[in-house]
Amino acid sequence: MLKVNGLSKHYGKHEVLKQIDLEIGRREVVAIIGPSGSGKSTLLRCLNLLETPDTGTIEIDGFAVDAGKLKKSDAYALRQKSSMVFQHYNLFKNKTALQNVIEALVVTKKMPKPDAVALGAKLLEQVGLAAKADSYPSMLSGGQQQRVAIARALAVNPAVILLDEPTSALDPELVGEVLQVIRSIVHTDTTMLIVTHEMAFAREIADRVIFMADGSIVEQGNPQQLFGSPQQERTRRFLSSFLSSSSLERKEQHDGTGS
Amino acid sequence: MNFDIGFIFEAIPRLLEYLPMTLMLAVGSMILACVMGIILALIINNRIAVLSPLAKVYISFFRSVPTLVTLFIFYVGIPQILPEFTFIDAITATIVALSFKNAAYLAEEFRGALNAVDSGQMEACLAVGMTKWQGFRRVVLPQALRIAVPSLGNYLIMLVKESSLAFTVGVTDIFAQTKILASGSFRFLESYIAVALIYWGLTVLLTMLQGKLEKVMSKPYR
Repeated sequence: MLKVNGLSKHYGKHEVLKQIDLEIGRREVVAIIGPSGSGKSTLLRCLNLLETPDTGTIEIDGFAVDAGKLKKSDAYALRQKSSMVFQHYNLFKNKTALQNVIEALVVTKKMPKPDAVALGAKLLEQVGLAAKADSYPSMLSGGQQQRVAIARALAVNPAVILLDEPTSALDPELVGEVLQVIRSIVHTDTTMLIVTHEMAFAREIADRVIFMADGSIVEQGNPQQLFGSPQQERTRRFLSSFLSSSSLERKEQHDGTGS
Repeated sequence: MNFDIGFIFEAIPRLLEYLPMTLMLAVGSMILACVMGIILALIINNRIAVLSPLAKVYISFFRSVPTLVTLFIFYVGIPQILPEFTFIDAITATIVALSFKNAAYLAEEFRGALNAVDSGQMEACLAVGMTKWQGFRRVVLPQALRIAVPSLGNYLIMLVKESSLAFTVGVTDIFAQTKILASGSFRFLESYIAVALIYWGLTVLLTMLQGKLEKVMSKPYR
Protein backbone atom coordinates (compact mmCIF):
# COMPACT_ATOMS: atom_id res chain seq x y z
CA MET A 1 0.00 0.00 0.00
CA LEU A 2 2.78 2.37 0.97
CA LYS A 3 6.21 1.56 -0.35
CA VAL A 4 9.41 3.55 0.04
CA ASN A 5 12.67 2.65 -1.64
CA GLY A 6 16.10 4.15 -1.14
CA LEU A 7 14.83 7.41 0.30
CA SER A 8 17.58 9.82 1.29
CA LYS A 9 17.74 13.46 2.25
CA HIS A 10 20.54 15.90 3.06
CA TYR A 11 20.48 19.26 4.76
CA GLY A 12 23.78 20.68 3.61
CA LYS A 13 26.34 18.10 4.70
CA HIS A 14 24.09 16.51 7.27
CA GLU A 15 22.53 13.26 6.10
CA VAL A 16 19.05 13.25 7.63
CA LEU A 17 17.75 10.13 5.91
CA LYS A 18 20.00 7.33 4.72
CA GLN A 19 18.54 5.06 2.06
CA ILE A 20 15.30 4.30 3.87
CA ASP A 21 13.28 1.29 2.69
CA LEU A 22 9.83 0.85 4.13
CA GLU A 23 6.70 -1.03 3.31
CA ILE A 24 3.32 -0.67 5.02
CA GLY A 25 0.24 -2.72 4.40
CA ARG A 26 -3.34 -1.54 4.11
CA ARG A 27 -4.93 -0.69 7.47
CA GLU A 28 -1.64 -1.28 9.24
CA VAL A 29 -0.83 1.04 12.14
CA VAL A 30 2.86 1.77 12.34
CA ALA A 31 4.54 3.82 15.06
CA ILE A 32 7.96 5.37 14.53
CA ILE A 33 9.99 6.06 17.66
CA GLY A 34 13.51 7.29 18.15
CA PRO A 35 15.63 10.09 19.57
CA SER A 36 15.25 13.71 18.44
CA GLY A 37 17.04 14.38 15.19
CA SER A 38 16.85 10.76 14.07
CA GLY A 39 14.92 11.74 10.93
CA LYS A 40 11.48 10.45 11.97
CA SER A 41 9.62 13.66 11.19
CA THR A 42 11.64 14.25 8.02
CA LEU A 43 10.70 10.78 6.80
CA LEU A 44 7.04 11.53 7.40
CA ARG A 45 7.31 14.92 5.69
CA CYS A 46 9.01 13.33 2.68
CA LEU A 47 6.03 11.03 2.22
CA ASN A 48 3.77 13.96 1.32
CA LEU A 49 6.64 15.93 -0.19
CA LEU A 50 6.54 18.79 2.28
CA GLU A 51 10.25 17.99 2.20
CA THR A 52 11.71 17.01 -1.13
CA PRO A 53 13.85 13.90 -0.84
CA ASP A 54 17.15 13.82 -2.74
CA THR A 55 16.70 10.30 -4.06
CA GLY A 56 14.30 7.42 -3.71
CA THR A 57 10.84 6.39 -4.77
CA ILE A 58 7.58 6.72 -2.89
CA GLU A 59 4.49 4.76 -3.76
CA ILE A 60 1.17 5.26 -2.02
CA ASP A 61 -2.00 3.43 -3.00
CA GLY A 62 -0.72 2.63 -6.48
CA PHE A 63 0.68 6.06 -7.28
CA ALA A 64 4.46 6.25 -7.45
CA VAL A 65 6.87 9.17 -7.67
CA ASP A 66 10.62 9.26 -8.15
CA ALA A 67 12.39 11.94 -6.13
CA GLY A 68 14.96 12.36 -8.89
CA LYS A 69 12.41 13.50 -11.47
CA LEU A 70 9.63 15.09 -9.51
CA LYS A 71 6.98 17.11 -11.30
CA LYS A 72 4.65 19.54 -9.60
CA SER A 73 1.62 17.61 -10.78
CA ASP A 74 3.10 14.40 -9.31
CA ALA A 75 3.51 16.10 -5.96
CA TYR A 76 -0.13 17.21 -5.93
CA ALA A 77 -1.30 13.77 -7.05
CA LEU A 78 0.72 12.01 -4.35
CA ARG A 79 -0.62 14.36 -1.68
CA GLN A 80 -4.17 13.37 -2.62
CA LYS A 81 -3.33 9.96 -1.18
CA SER A 82 -2.42 11.10 2.31
CA SER A 83 -3.19 13.66 4.96
CA MET A 84 -1.23 14.86 7.93
CA VAL A 85 -1.72 15.75 11.58
CA PHE A 86 0.93 18.23 12.69
CA GLN A 87 2.68 18.69 16.00
CA HIS A 88 1.46 22.29 16.16
CA TYR A 89 -2.03 21.48 14.76
CA ASN A 90 -1.72 24.09 11.96
CA LEU A 91 -5.45 24.64 11.79
CA PHE A 92 -6.39 27.35 9.28
CA LYS A 93 -6.58 30.30 11.66
CA ASN A 94 -9.01 32.26 9.52
CA LYS A 95 -11.55 29.43 9.41
CA THR A 96 -13.92 27.84 11.90
CA ALA A 97 -13.55 24.26 13.06
CA LEU A 98 -16.13 23.08 10.53
CA GLN A 99 -14.60 25.13 7.71
CA ASN A 100 -11.22 23.62 8.55
CA VAL A 101 -12.61 20.14 8.15
CA ILE A 102 -14.48 20.75 4.88
CA GLU A 103 -12.02 23.13 3.18
CA ALA A 104 -10.22 20.46 1.17
CA LEU A 105 -13.47 18.64 0.37
CA VAL A 106 -14.92 21.72 -1.26
CA VAL A 107 -11.74 23.04 -2.85
CA THR A 108 -9.93 19.95 -4.08
CA LYS A 109 -12.49 17.14 -4.02
CA LYS A 110 -15.19 19.40 -5.47
CA MET A 111 -17.76 17.95 -3.12
CA PRO A 112 -21.06 19.89 -3.07
CA LYS A 113 -21.13 22.17 -0.04
CA PRO A 114 -24.15 20.59 1.72
CA ASP A 115 -22.58 17.13 1.47
CA ALA A 116 -19.28 18.48 2.77
CA VAL A 117 -20.99 20.20 5.69
CA ALA A 118 -22.84 17.00 6.59
CA LEU A 119 -19.64 14.98 6.48
CA GLY A 120 -17.77 17.68 8.42
CA ALA A 121 -20.41 17.72 11.14
CA LYS A 122 -20.24 13.94 11.39
CA LEU A 123 -16.46 13.98 11.74
CA LEU A 124 -16.53 16.72 14.36
CA GLU A 125 -19.01 14.64 16.29
CA GLN A 126 -16.69 11.67 15.99
CA VAL A 127 -13.89 13.64 17.66
CA GLY A 128 -16.32 14.96 20.26
CA LEU A 129 -16.44 18.56 19.07
CA ALA A 130 -19.85 18.91 17.43
CA ALA A 131 -20.57 21.85 19.73
CA LYS A 132 -17.46 23.69 18.57
CA ALA A 133 -18.22 23.62 14.83
CA ASP A 134 -18.43 27.41 14.59
CA SER A 135 -15.51 28.17 16.88
CA TYR A 136 -12.30 29.60 15.48
CA PRO A 137 -9.01 27.88 16.39
CA SER A 138 -8.05 30.73 18.73
CA MET A 139 -11.06 29.86 20.92
CA LEU A 140 -10.11 26.19 21.23
CA SER A 141 -7.67 24.52 23.59
CA GLY A 142 -4.64 22.76 22.16
CA GLY A 143 -6.30 19.40 22.61
CA GLN A 144 -9.46 20.55 20.88
CA GLN A 145 -7.47 22.05 18.02
CA GLN A 146 -5.63 18.77 17.51
CA ARG A 147 -8.91 16.86 17.52
CA VAL A 148 -10.24 19.19 14.81
CA ALA A 149 -6.99 18.59 12.92
CA ILE A 150 -7.60 14.85 13.12
CA ALA A 151 -11.13 15.34 11.76
CA ARG A 152 -9.65 17.45 8.95
CA ALA A 153 -7.17 14.70 8.14
CA LEU A 154 -9.93 12.07 8.09
CA ALA A 155 -12.22 14.18 5.90
CA VAL A 156 -10.25 13.72 2.69
CA ASN A 157 -10.55 9.94 3.11
CA PRO A 158 -6.81 9.40 2.70
CA ALA A 159 -5.12 6.09 1.99
CA VAL A 160 -2.72 6.88 4.81
CA ILE A 161 -2.77 9.39 7.67
CA LEU A 162 0.60 10.72 8.73
CA LEU A 163 0.69 11.86 12.36
CA ASP A 164 3.77 13.91 13.24
CA GLU A 165 4.17 13.90 17.03
CA PRO A 166 0.50 14.75 17.51
CA THR A 167 0.72 15.16 21.28
CA SER A 168 4.18 16.67 21.73
CA ALA A 169 3.03 20.29 21.85
CA LEU A 170 0.15 19.64 24.23
CA ASP A 171 -0.11 20.35 27.92
CA PRO A 172 0.15 17.03 29.76
CA GLU A 173 -3.47 17.07 30.90
CA LEU A 174 -4.65 17.42 27.27
CA VAL A 175 -2.64 14.50 25.88
CA GLY A 176 -5.21 11.95 27.00
CA GLU A 177 -8.15 13.31 24.99
CA VAL A 178 -6.11 13.39 21.77
CA LEU A 179 -4.76 9.87 22.28
CA GLN A 180 -8.33 8.74 22.93
CA VAL A 181 -9.44 10.15 19.57
CA ILE A 182 -6.52 8.53 17.75
CA ARG A 183 -7.29 5.25 19.50
CA SER A 184 -10.87 5.50 18.23
CA ILE A 185 -9.83 5.70 14.58
CA VAL A 186 -7.20 2.97 14.71
CA HIS A 187 -8.24 -0.04 12.63
CA THR A 188 -11.31 1.65 11.23
CA ASP A 189 -10.36 1.96 7.62
CA THR A 190 -7.22 4.00 7.37
CA THR A 191 -3.59 3.15 7.36
CA MET A 192 -1.67 5.14 9.96
CA LEU A 193 1.92 6.15 10.32
CA ILE A 194 2.55 7.90 13.61
CA VAL A 195 5.72 9.49 14.90
CA THR A 196 5.47 9.64 18.66
CA HIS A 197 7.28 9.91 21.96
CA GLU A 198 4.38 8.26 23.78
CA MET A 199 5.92 4.81 24.21
CA ALA A 200 3.03 3.30 26.11
CA PHE A 201 0.64 4.52 23.44
CA ALA A 202 2.77 3.19 20.59
CA ARG A 203 2.91 -0.15 22.35
CA GLU A 204 -0.84 -0.17 22.78
CA ILE A 205 -2.08 0.82 19.32
CA ALA A 206 0.66 -0.10 16.84
CA ASP A 207 0.79 -3.28 14.79
CA ARG A 208 4.42 -2.55 14.19
CA VAL A 209 6.96 -0.28 15.82
CA ILE A 210 9.93 1.14 13.95
CA PHE A 211 12.94 2.44 15.83
CA MET A 212 14.94 5.07 13.96
CA ALA A 213 18.31 6.59 14.83
CA ASP A 214 20.72 8.77 12.84
CA GLY A 215 18.64 8.67 9.68
CA SER A 216 18.27 4.89 9.49
CA ILE A 217 15.75 2.30 10.53
CA VAL A 218 17.64 0.42 13.24
CA GLU A 219 15.04 -2.14 14.16
CA GLN A 220 11.38 -2.92 13.69
CA GLY A 221 8.91 -5.47 14.88
CA ASN A 222 5.66 -5.91 16.69
CA PRO A 223 5.41 -3.95 19.94
CA GLN A 224 5.98 -7.00 22.16
CA GLN A 225 9.21 -7.80 20.33
CA LEU A 226 10.54 -4.28 20.08
CA PHE A 227 9.73 -3.14 23.61
CA GLY A 228 10.06 -6.56 25.24
CA SER A 229 13.22 -7.92 23.69
CA PRO A 230 14.98 -5.38 21.49
CA GLN A 231 17.73 -6.98 19.41
CA GLN A 232 19.93 -3.97 18.78
CA GLU A 233 22.12 -2.29 21.38
CA ARG A 234 21.06 1.16 20.09
CA THR A 235 17.39 0.33 20.63
CA ARG A 236 18.06 -0.98 24.14
CA ARG A 237 19.92 2.18 25.06
CA PHE A 238 17.10 4.39 23.78
CA LEU A 239 14.37 2.40 25.49
CA SER A 240 16.22 2.22 28.79
CA SER A 241 16.71 6.00 28.81
CA PHE A 242 13.00 6.35 28.24
CA LEU A 243 12.02 3.85 30.87
CA SER A 244 14.54 5.06 33.42
CA SER A 245 12.31 7.76 34.82
CA SER A 246 9.42 5.41 35.54
CA SER A 247 11.66 2.63 36.80
CA LEU A 248 13.45 5.11 39.04
CA GLU A 249 10.14 5.99 40.61
CA ARG A 250 9.41 2.36 41.21
CA LYS A 251 12.87 1.86 42.69
CA GLU A 252 12.40 4.75 45.08
CA GLN A 253 9.07 3.38 46.19
CA HIS A 254 10.62 0.01 46.68
CA ASP A 255 13.50 1.45 48.71
CA GLY A 256 11.05 3.44 50.78
CA THR A 257 8.97 0.44 51.80
CA GLY A 258 11.98 -1.84 52.15
CA SER A 259 13.79 0.11 54.86
CA MET B 1 -11.29 91.94 8.38
CA ASN B 2 -11.70 90.48 4.92
CA PHE B 3 -12.74 87.00 5.98
CA ASP B 4 -16.17 85.57 5.28
CA ILE B 5 -16.76 82.48 7.39
CA GLY B 6 -20.08 81.95 5.65
CA PHE B 7 -18.28 81.42 2.36
CA ILE B 8 -16.65 78.29 3.75
CA PHE B 9 -20.01 76.68 4.36
CA GLU B 10 -21.23 77.74 0.95
CA ALA B 11 -18.09 76.33 -0.67
CA ILE B 12 -18.14 72.92 1.01
CA PRO B 13 -21.24 71.53 -0.75
CA ARG B 14 -20.04 72.91 -4.10
CA LEU B 15 -16.67 71.22 -3.64
CA LEU B 16 -18.26 67.96 -2.50
CA GLU B 17 -19.72 67.58 -5.99
CA TYR B 18 -16.18 66.70 -7.06
CA LEU B 19 -15.60 64.23 -4.24
CA PRO B 20 -16.44 61.23 -6.46
CA MET B 21 -13.44 62.11 -8.67
CA THR B 22 -11.10 62.33 -5.69
CA LEU B 23 -12.42 59.04 -4.32
CA MET B 24 -12.15 57.36 -7.69
CA LEU B 25 -8.51 58.42 -8.05
CA ALA B 26 -7.66 57.30 -4.51
CA VAL B 27 -9.58 54.02 -4.44
CA GLY B 28 -8.64 53.11 -8.02
CA SER B 29 -4.97 53.67 -7.27
CA MET B 30 -5.27 51.80 -4.00
CA ILE B 31 -6.73 48.68 -5.63
CA LEU B 32 -4.18 48.65 -8.43
CA ALA B 33 -1.33 49.36 -6.00
CA CYS B 34 -2.45 46.48 -3.75
CA VAL B 35 -2.55 44.00 -6.63
CA MET B 36 0.87 45.12 -7.87
CA GLY B 37 2.27 45.23 -4.34
CA ILE B 38 1.17 41.66 -3.61
CA ILE B 39 2.68 40.43 -6.89
CA LEU B 40 5.97 42.24 -6.13
CA ALA B 41 5.98 40.82 -2.60
CA LEU B 42 5.43 37.28 -3.88
CA ILE B 43 8.17 37.64 -6.49
CA ILE B 44 10.67 38.78 -3.87
CA ASN B 45 9.58 36.42 -1.09
CA ASN B 46 9.77 33.40 -3.39
CA ARG B 47 13.10 34.58 -4.84
CA ILE B 48 11.86 34.06 -8.38
CA ALA B 49 14.81 34.11 -10.76
CA VAL B 50 15.24 37.19 -12.98
CA LEU B 51 12.01 38.78 -11.72
CA SER B 52 13.16 39.16 -8.13
CA PRO B 53 16.09 41.53 -8.85
CA LEU B 54 13.89 43.43 -11.30
CA ALA B 55 11.26 43.85 -8.60
CA LYS B 56 13.88 45.26 -6.27
CA VAL B 57 14.99 47.77 -8.90
CA TYR B 58 11.36 48.74 -9.44
CA ILE B 59 10.84 49.33 -5.73
CA SER B 60 14.04 51.31 -5.39
CA PHE B 61 13.13 53.54 -8.37
CA PHE B 62 9.53 54.33 -7.50
CA ARG B 63 10.35 54.96 -3.86
CA SER B 64 12.98 57.49 -4.86
CA VAL B 65 11.21 59.55 -7.52
CA PRO B 66 8.80 62.30 -6.41
CA THR B 67 5.18 61.45 -7.16
CA LEU B 68 4.81 64.55 -9.30
CA VAL B 69 7.76 63.51 -11.48
CA THR B 70 6.29 60.02 -11.88
CA LEU B 71 2.97 61.55 -12.89
CA PHE B 72 4.59 63.75 -15.53
CA ILE B 73 6.61 60.84 -16.87
CA PHE B 74 3.40 58.89 -17.47
CA TYR B 75 1.22 61.75 -18.71
CA VAL B 76 3.61 63.89 -20.71
CA GLY B 77 6.74 61.81 -21.15
CA ILE B 78 5.62 58.43 -22.42
CA PRO B 79 3.36 59.72 -25.24
CA GLN B 80 6.41 61.59 -26.57
CA ILE B 81 8.24 58.36 -27.44
CA LEU B 82 5.17 56.17 -27.86
CA PRO B 83 2.61 58.30 -29.68
CA GLU B 84 0.08 55.47 -29.54
CA PHE B 85 -0.12 56.17 -25.80
CA THR B 86 -1.43 59.70 -26.28
CA PHE B 87 -4.88 58.25 -25.75
CA ILE B 88 -3.98 57.98 -22.07
CA ASP B 89 -6.18 60.55 -20.45
CA ALA B 90 -5.19 62.51 -17.39
CA ILE B 91 -7.31 60.41 -15.04
CA THR B 92 -5.73 57.14 -16.17
CA ALA B 93 -2.25 58.67 -16.02
CA THR B 94 -2.87 59.83 -12.44
CA ILE B 95 -4.15 56.43 -11.33
CA VAL B 96 -1.25 54.64 -13.00
CA ALA B 97 1.35 57.01 -11.55
CA LEU B 98 -0.09 56.86 -8.04
CA SER B 99 -0.42 53.09 -8.08
CA PHE B 100 3.08 52.50 -9.50
CA LYS B 101 4.55 54.59 -6.72
CA ASN B 102 2.43 53.16 -3.91
CA ALA B 103 2.92 49.58 -5.12
CA ALA B 104 6.60 50.04 -4.33
CA TYR B 105 5.78 50.90 -0.72
CA LEU B 106 2.98 48.37 -0.37
CA ALA B 107 5.26 45.57 -1.63
CA GLU B 108 7.31 45.98 1.53
CA GLU B 109 4.18 45.98 3.71
CA PHE B 110 2.86 42.83 2.05
CA ARG B 111 6.22 41.12 2.29
CA GLY B 112 6.19 41.64 6.03
CA ALA B 113 2.56 40.58 6.37
CA LEU B 114 3.03 37.43 4.28
CA ASN B 115 6.15 36.49 6.23
CA ALA B 116 4.21 36.93 9.46
CA VAL B 117 1.83 34.11 8.53
CA ASP B 118 3.13 30.87 10.02
CA SER B 119 4.60 28.57 7.35
CA GLY B 120 2.60 25.71 8.91
CA GLN B 121 -0.55 27.23 7.39
CA MET B 122 0.64 26.58 3.83
CA GLU B 123 1.98 23.16 4.82
CA ALA B 124 -1.46 22.23 6.15
CA CYS B 125 -3.02 23.33 2.85
CA LEU B 126 -0.60 21.22 0.83
CA ALA B 127 -1.02 18.25 3.15
CA VAL B 128 -4.77 18.06 2.49
CA GLY B 129 -4.11 18.20 -1.25
CA MET B 130 -4.65 21.88 -2.02
CA THR B 131 -2.41 23.59 -4.56
CA LYS B 132 -0.05 26.37 -3.54
CA TRP B 133 -2.30 28.91 -5.24
CA GLN B 134 -5.42 27.62 -3.45
CA GLY B 135 -3.60 27.72 -0.14
CA PHE B 136 -2.34 31.20 -0.82
CA ARG B 137 -5.69 32.59 -1.86
CA ARG B 138 -7.87 30.92 0.76
CA VAL B 139 -5.65 30.70 3.83
CA VAL B 140 -2.41 32.68 3.67
CA LEU B 141 -3.59 35.85 1.92
CA PRO B 142 -6.63 36.47 4.16
CA GLN B 143 -4.40 36.17 7.22
CA ALA B 144 -1.76 38.45 5.69
CA LEU B 145 -4.37 41.04 4.72
CA ARG B 146 -5.60 41.20 8.27
CA ILE B 147 -2.06 41.90 9.44
CA ALA B 148 -1.66 44.54 6.73
CA VAL B 149 -4.96 46.39 7.29
CA PRO B 150 -3.63 49.06 9.67
CA SER B 151 -0.90 50.11 7.25
CA LEU B 152 -3.19 49.74 4.22
CA GLY B 153 -5.51 52.23 5.90
CA ASN B 154 -2.63 54.67 6.19
CA TYR B 155 -1.77 54.31 2.53
CA LEU B 156 -5.37 54.91 1.49
CA ILE B 157 -5.44 58.11 3.54
CA MET B 158 -2.18 59.22 1.94
CA LEU B 159 -3.58 58.42 -1.49
CA VAL B 160 -6.65 60.55 -0.88
CA LYS B 161 -4.34 63.48 -0.29
CA GLU B 162 -1.88 62.59 -3.05
CA SER B 163 -4.74 62.46 -5.54
CA SER B 164 -4.80 66.26 -5.33
CA LEU B 165 -1.73 66.21 -7.58
CA ALA B 166 -4.14 65.35 -10.40
CA PHE B 167 -4.89 69.05 -10.81
CA THR B 168 -1.42 69.47 -12.35
CA VAL B 169 -2.45 67.39 -15.37
CA GLY B 170 -5.86 69.00 -15.65
CA VAL B 171 -8.14 66.60 -13.77
CA THR B 172 -10.89 68.39 -11.88
CA ASP B 173 -10.98 66.84 -8.44
CA ILE B 174 -12.00 68.66 -5.27
CA PHE B 175 -8.67 70.47 -5.09
CA ALA B 176 -8.76 71.67 -8.72
CA GLN B 177 -12.32 72.86 -8.16
CA THR B 178 -11.13 74.71 -5.05
CA LYS B 179 -8.58 76.60 -7.11
CA ILE B 180 -11.27 77.52 -9.63
CA LEU B 181 -13.57 78.64 -6.87
CA ALA B 182 -10.84 80.62 -5.13
CA SER B 183 -9.63 82.50 -8.19
CA GLY B 184 -13.19 83.27 -9.26
CA SER B 185 -14.21 84.72 -5.91
CA PHE B 186 -10.88 85.96 -4.56
CA ARG B 187 -11.83 84.12 -1.36
CA PHE B 188 -8.58 82.13 -1.24
CA LEU B 189 -8.33 81.48 2.48
CA GLU B 190 -11.98 80.50 2.79
CA SER B 191 -11.78 78.18 -0.20
CA TYR B 192 -8.65 76.40 0.96
CA ILE B 193 -9.97 76.08 4.50
CA ALA B 194 -13.12 74.57 3.04
CA VAL B 195 -11.19 71.94 1.09
CA ALA B 196 -8.92 71.29 4.07
CA LEU B 197 -12.00 70.57 6.18
CA ILE B 198 -13.24 68.14 3.54
CA TYR B 199 -9.93 66.25 3.50
CA TRP B 200 -9.98 66.20 7.31
CA GLY B 201 -13.52 64.88 7.45
CA LEU B 202 -12.72 62.28 4.84
CA THR B 203 -9.70 61.08 6.80
CA VAL B 204 -11.69 60.88 10.03
CA LEU B 205 -14.31 58.83 8.20
CA LEU B 206 -11.73 56.50 6.65
CA THR B 207 -10.03 56.03 10.01
CA MET B 208 -13.36 55.02 11.53
CA LEU B 209 -14.01 52.58 8.70
CA GLN B 210 -10.53 51.13 9.15
CA GLY B 211 -11.23 50.57 12.85
CA LYS B 212 -14.47 48.77 12.01
CA LEU B 213 -12.72 46.63 9.38
CA GLU B 214 -9.95 45.71 11.82
CA LYS B 215 -12.56 44.64 14.34
CA VAL B 216 -14.40 42.45 11.85
CA MET B 217 -11.24 40.88 10.52
CA SER B 218 -9.85 40.16 13.98
CA LYS B 219 -12.96 38.30 15.05
CA PRO B 220 -11.54 34.83 14.36
CA TYR B 221 -8.40 35.58 16.34
CA ARG B 222 -9.79 36.61 19.73
